[in-house]
Amino acid sequence: MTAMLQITTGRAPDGRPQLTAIGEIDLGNADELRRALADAVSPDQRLLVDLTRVDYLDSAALAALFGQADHIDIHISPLNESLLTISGLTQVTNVRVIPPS
Amino acid sequence: MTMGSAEGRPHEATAADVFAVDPEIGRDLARVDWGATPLGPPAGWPQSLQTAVSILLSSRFSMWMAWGPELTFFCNSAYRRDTLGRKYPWALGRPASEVWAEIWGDIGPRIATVLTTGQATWDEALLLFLERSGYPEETYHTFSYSPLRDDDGALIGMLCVVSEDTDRVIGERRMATLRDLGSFGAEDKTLLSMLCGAMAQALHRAYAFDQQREVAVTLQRSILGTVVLPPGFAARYQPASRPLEVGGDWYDAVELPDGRIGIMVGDCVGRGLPAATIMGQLRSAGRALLLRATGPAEVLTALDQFTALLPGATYTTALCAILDPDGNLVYSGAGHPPAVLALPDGQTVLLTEGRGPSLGVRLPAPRTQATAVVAPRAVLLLYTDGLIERRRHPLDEGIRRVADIAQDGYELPVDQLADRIMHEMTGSGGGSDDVALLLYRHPAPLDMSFAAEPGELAPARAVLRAWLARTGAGMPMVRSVLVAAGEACANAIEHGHRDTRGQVRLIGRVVGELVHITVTDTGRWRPEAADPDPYRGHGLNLMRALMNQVKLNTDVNGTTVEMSTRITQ
Repeated sequence: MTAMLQITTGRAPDGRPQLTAIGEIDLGNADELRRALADAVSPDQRLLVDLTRVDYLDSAALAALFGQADHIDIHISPLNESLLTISGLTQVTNVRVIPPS
Repeated sequence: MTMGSAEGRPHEATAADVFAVDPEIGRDLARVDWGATPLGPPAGWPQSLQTAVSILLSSRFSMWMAWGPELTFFCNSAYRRDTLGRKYPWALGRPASEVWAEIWGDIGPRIATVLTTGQATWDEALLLFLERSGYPEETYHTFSYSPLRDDDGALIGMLCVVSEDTDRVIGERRMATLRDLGSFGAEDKTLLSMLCGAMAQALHRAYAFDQQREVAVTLQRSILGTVVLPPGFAARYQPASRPLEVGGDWYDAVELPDGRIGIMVGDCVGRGLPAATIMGQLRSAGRALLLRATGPAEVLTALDQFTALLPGATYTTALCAILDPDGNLVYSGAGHPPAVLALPDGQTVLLTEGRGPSLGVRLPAPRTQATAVVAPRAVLLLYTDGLIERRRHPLDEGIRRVADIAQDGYELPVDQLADRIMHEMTGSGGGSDDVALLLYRHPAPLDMSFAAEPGELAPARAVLRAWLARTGAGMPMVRSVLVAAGEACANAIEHGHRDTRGQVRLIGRVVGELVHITVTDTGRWRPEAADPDPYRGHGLNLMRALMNQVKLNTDVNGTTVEMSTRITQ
């Protein structure tokens, strides 16, 4: 049984492309995220990656994010903020912490 | 010997005839599962083997023989009586090297000589340390091993004819000792040899008594039941009536089909064997009822009815409880001292509700039950009054002392805590009353194994998440431990099991204010620097950042990660 992960793409309120992930991301399904990111990024606009409803992510997920760090901005829940800080992801891309609504 | 006409029949009839030579040994030989030995079923035995067995069984001289590639063991009734002792009938049909394992170094080479040269051996009064009565024993035997041949004349086994000289050799040694002592007259010698004889008899009786005692102890232990307790539990038991190993007290903790744990502690009236026999029945009944019951009041009500049918069981006190994995406790008491909750903040809670009279007493009202919560790191103590009762000391004082010990020992594993409580409360033992103690610290340790595959990470994480919630950890800490443990498991899957599909074992324990996580696999991790994907190297960094302590140990058996961190809200 692999972790439950749902990935959708669309437009952010400001009109730029957005990728939303919901669920858990680990070694078992991080490739899904890697592929979805590769498909969604574009050279001219930064992709907004909304991870505020990701309950769990591990270093495999971080690796996927690092791979596209130059092309993405990340929204994350407070619970996962420390992970992105520790990994150094906050230093190579824009990370915003969004409290749960 | 009858001759059959149908195919195979003559052999079958012959084998049965061979066993019939000695009805008693023959019956036990017929019970051996020969199909599981290299000799196969007796119906197919060659004529040479049948003849050898027939000679063996019909002799009144002490003999044994070994046949075939494993030197399968046979013996006659004289050998059984003189030498084999407690190894009969177990020894029949087993490899001779197993039957006489303790002297195989002595006799194995002799048998090998017979089988290679075809020459018989001869030994006179050879010293052998046999274990025929359950203990090593100095014995002397005079014996000859002679070769046995199969239908084609090839060497296939050996026959041993033996007489035991132990009594003679030891008797002569005694007399020699007496002679060495010198100045004894003929009368002294007679007296001393009579004394020696009497002492030898006394020793034999002592050995026989030892065996009876072993039977008694085994039976007693079976009354108190299995010693395997559910995780998180420890129990101690000390009967007052030594040398009996059981008394009227009992305890039990059993995993129920729904994952909860049934708990019971009880105390029968009286002491010694009469109380122990009643205890055994009540304990069994209690366990059976727990396995089917919906609640502890129902168990005690059914035990009331059972007690009415059991003379001497009335006025037994008992405490019954059912605990779920989250620490929710339902309990009911029958005239029993209250269970104690020793909380991590130093408070002590007596579980005094849900109380009714002793078992079998006419009830004024239906039995009731009450609930309590065993908080994270709290210790639940169930006991019988022998633990806390001291003359001229009030019961409350004893309860207070037990709770204090549990409090002081909050960092000890439950087993050591149980030892300390018994030591400090009962001293060197030998109290005037039975003592039973059952304790549990919440939460029980987590111990899970799963296949080393990425898809197993999510279900394992769900189990760990539920366990961490039971430790009293707050969400941020649960998250940190989940990620750190997840990284350790992911590494075990990625690096530990490249070639073989192995298992990952995840253990969680609470020790004092710390959570310990251990992840083990059977593989060897690659060195950090050699990782071709620079981002994956974050795994170990994350573990180190999220936990207070991380230790990585790789040896030939695999890799173990030990991590710990302080429990925070």
